[in-house]
Amino acid sequence: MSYKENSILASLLITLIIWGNYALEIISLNQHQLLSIDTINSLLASAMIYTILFEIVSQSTVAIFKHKEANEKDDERDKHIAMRSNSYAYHILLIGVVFTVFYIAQPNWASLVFSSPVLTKEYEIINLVIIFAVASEVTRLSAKFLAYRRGF
Amino acid sequence: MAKIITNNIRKLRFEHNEMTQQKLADAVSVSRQTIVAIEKGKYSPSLEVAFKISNVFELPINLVFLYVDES
Repeated sequence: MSYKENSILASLLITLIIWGNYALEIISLNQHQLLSIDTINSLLASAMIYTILFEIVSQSTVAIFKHKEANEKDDERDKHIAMRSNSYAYHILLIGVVFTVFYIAQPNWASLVFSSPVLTKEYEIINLVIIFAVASEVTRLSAKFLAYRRGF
Repeated sequence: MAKIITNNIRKLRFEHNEMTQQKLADAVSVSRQTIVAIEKGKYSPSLEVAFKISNVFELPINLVFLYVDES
């Protein structure tokens, strides 16, 4: 695999593992009625810190092993792939914006889809935004990875 | 019938003193991975890069890139 494929795969795995774990923790705590604003803040902070740390370590490692390719500038193919992947991610984010606006504007309907008896509305919205942000990032990275592997 | 873009880059590289993919990539200012993708038919380059590749081999563009039936 090329430097770019390795780099994208590392970011994708980090995003899936760390934010997947965050989601599972939230669901588990919510089911056991142990969810509080403090625990959410703590989980959120640790997820962000771990993401940054693992990204630094993994990207540095990939760059060390593929140092020749790491310094290459993006060419037209890289830009095409980035544009296409960003376009897919944009659509996911757009759905997220519509869904969040609907959630705020129609609290009675929205609570049927996503709600917690413990959380304040602000924290429910934060988690809703995180879900769509992570979904769009996973979409962007997956689309990029597939484009580099399969071509387009 | 559907048509696809193919190319003779691999053959032409070998006819030009076994030019490496990296050397061709440097000559047309793209990455070696992009040359690999073009050779395999996974990526159709822009017109500008197609002309640059043709210039490297000193051939008209239609002898380097072919627009043929998929079959």
